[in-house]
Amino acid sequence: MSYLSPWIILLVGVAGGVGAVLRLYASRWNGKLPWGIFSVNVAASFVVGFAANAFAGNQDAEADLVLWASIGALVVVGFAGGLSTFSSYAAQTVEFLRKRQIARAVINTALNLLITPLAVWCGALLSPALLK
Amino acid sequence: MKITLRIIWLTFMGGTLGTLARFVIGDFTGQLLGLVLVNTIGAAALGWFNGDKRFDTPEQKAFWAVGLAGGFTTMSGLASAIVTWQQLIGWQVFGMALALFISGLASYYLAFSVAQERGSK
Repeated sequence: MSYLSPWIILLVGVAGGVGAVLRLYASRWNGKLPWGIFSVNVAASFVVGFAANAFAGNQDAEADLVLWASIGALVVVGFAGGLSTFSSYAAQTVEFLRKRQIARAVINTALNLLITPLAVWCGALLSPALLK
Repeated sequence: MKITLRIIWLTFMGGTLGTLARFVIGDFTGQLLGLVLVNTIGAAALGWFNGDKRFDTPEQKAFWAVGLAGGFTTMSGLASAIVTWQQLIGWQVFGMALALFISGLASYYLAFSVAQERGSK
């Protein structure tokens, strides 16, 4: 991706900042599990699957390749990467373990490990239908 | 944490820097090694920020923990890699992903414990 212009790279960072602010709001939704963080992880994974499939079909010429790589970097690396987080999952799961809430730690891990790839797959599967 | 304009701005700045750092590391190392590095280092960084009392104000948490560490690590990138690698090597990719999850938990706990230990001295 080093062929992207410095401006695009800066915009990738800004998109990540926007994602982080949305995550800040979502993180307030907590119940027996950290549902807010789990939700943004699933939503961001869906966006990644959707974008990867949508942009893959739009790379005919070299100019298009750079354009779609730029948009892909903005959406996938920037926005979705900034929206989702692994470190908060780790913090919340370690906190469950320290409080001896083993079931919650296991369920939180299983949900993040299994549902986020499923969301990527659903995003890729639904993108042709949603882009019609 | 009460969300004020200052908290939003600090989170945005931290998230921007964390995302840029992840982008640069991913560009240099490639997808798989990059994911392992950012998630393990990012989890350790958050463990440090949460364990060290100097990072205990809402402003510090917003910039360093929510913004920087949160933006530096990624679950969506990991999920995408799981889907890609599942097609290449099969279901054992979930075992490898679980190992990464556990190493993230361990690095968070280790950094958290060391930061707390140093703070209590």
